[in-house]
Amino acid sequence: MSKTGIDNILEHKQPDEQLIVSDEHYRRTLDNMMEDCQIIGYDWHYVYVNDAAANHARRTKEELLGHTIMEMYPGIEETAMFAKLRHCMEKRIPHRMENLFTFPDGSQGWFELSIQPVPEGIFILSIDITERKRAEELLRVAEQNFRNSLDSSPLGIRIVTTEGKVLYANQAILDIYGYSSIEELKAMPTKQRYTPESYAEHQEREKRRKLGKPVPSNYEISIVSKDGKIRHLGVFRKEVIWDGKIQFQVIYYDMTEQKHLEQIMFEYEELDRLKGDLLSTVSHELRTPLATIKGYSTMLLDYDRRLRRDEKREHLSSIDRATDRLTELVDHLLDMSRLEAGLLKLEKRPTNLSNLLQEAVNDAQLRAPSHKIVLNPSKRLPRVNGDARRIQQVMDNIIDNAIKYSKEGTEVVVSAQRVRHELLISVADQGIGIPAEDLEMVFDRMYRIEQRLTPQVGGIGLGLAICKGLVEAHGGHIWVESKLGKGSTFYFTLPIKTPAEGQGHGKKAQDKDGSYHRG
Amino acid sequence: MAKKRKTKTVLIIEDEADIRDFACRLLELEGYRVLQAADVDTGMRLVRQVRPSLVLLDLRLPGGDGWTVLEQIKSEAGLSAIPIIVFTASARESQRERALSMGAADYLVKPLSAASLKEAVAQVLSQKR
Repeated sequence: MSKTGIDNILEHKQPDEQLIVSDEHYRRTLDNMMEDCQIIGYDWHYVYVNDAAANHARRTKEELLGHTIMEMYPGIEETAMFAKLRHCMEKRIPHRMENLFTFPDGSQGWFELSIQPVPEGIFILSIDITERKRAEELLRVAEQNFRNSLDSSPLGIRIVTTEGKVLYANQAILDIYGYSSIEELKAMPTKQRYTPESYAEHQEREKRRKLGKPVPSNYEISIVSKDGKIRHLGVFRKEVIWDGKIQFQVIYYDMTEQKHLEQIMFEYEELDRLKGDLLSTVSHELRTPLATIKGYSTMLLDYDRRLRRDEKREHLSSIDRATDRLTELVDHLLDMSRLEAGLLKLEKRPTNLSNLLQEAVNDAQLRAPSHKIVLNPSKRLPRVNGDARRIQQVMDNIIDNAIKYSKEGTEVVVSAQRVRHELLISVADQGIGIPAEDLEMVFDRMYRIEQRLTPQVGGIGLGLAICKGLVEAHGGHIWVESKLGKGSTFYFTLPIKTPAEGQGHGKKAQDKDGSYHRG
Repeated sequence: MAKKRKTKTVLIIEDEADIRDFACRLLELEGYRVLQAADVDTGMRLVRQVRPSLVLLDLRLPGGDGWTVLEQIKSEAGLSAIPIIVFTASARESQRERALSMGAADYLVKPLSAASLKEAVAQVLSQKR
């Protein structure tokens, strides 16, 4: 072993006897240290190397001493570590760094280097931190894996404090709300993130939490996303340890599609039920007039000789009426299916409603001689752009409806007036009225008030649904106002095409004794 | 009304005029004396006054339920022997069984055909004898 720098230090720089003893002691300490110790001279020669350093370098001390560091590690001048060494060498400034070191045999290890300027050059203390680094890396990867799984979870995940402060929110949360950053989400007031009903429920939950009352850990909320759309979310809320403290992990799953499907399913079932109802009603409505036709035909055939002429005529008119009823029923069914399929064609042309209303009233008066069907006098009515036959059908239907649900002798008043760009037509009766809760359903298929109040009135319940379809096909609206026991007024509007003269009005109220038989 | 030899009286309790008229005419042609009622009260009054040989009863009636008429007639002394043919729009088996167990002589499903009505009436009246 040649003289090391330390020997020189000991001999020349610090000749004190006690210090020599002491330095000898330190030198042995350095020699036996687990950490690598080396001294590099100003000319980059190894001046001192302890056993640990030699072992790490896979060389003997002799191989190292007397050689430069560049000889041992070709290319070392290019490394960041060497820059530090040089800096310390030239500027005499200590450094500390971590370095991944590649040994001549290709093996690698992480070292923490402490570089100190010493009189001979620089002193390097290297501590092998490969194990620590590996553990750190494992932890980092584990942490990253965990974060990745949170970040990219299809479920929205937030970590919130008991006060509701957001500590973490993943990407799915932002996607659900449509925000581009957590800051944007945080900036949005809580109230605006919920639908009003859902916000009220949220407040109730918060209140209960503050009071320490139990709150379900699984509930549903309805939120308003950035684009204003409402989404339905299922929520799980659970305590979790986060950064060493108890916080809450809140998991959101988007149920909007599911809810939508449920709604579609519900509507399908409803449709199915309606179809069933329609079928049984239709078959019942078909069978009744058919039974009349069949019954009286049988009677006419079987008892031909015993029936008087007037009796025969009566039976024939029963058959006639039943046939009309069947025809009407089939017409209604066809109209309804055409309306629903969008196949109903309107033959629109400028139409003078004054005449049409007058005829409708006159005809209705003939059909219901015991009612007073009145047409309110009106000023000139503008022409509407419509299909006269279909408007007539709507009028007949609404007037017949009024007659059906009001007592004989009462009035049915038809009025028409211009309201802005529309013609408003109304039919008011003094009948039984419609319960308030049923007003919206009146125009639904199959709605029949008589099912509860007037079981003796027949009909399939498509009439008003057809009226609604026809009025809307004209671009108008139809609605009803009613007071139970006082009567109902049906209104509908038709758009005015061109302002034109409409002659008048008319009033005809015929009273005639009823030939109506009723129990 | 009835001018036939047979003097059996049939009472029809039915609110639908068309059906009532038809049944009435048919049975008159068959030679029965026919009375009609359109509601429960009129029906019960006629049953007690006239004691008909047969009652044709619609189970769905205004002002009460056909079932109560059936129950009253069958439980009232002096009336319980009067046979009753019930009819309704419901073909449900449970309804039929219930009506028969309450003492109805027969159960017809509407709409009534001339043949089935004639036959049922004739059969019930012949059994009674």
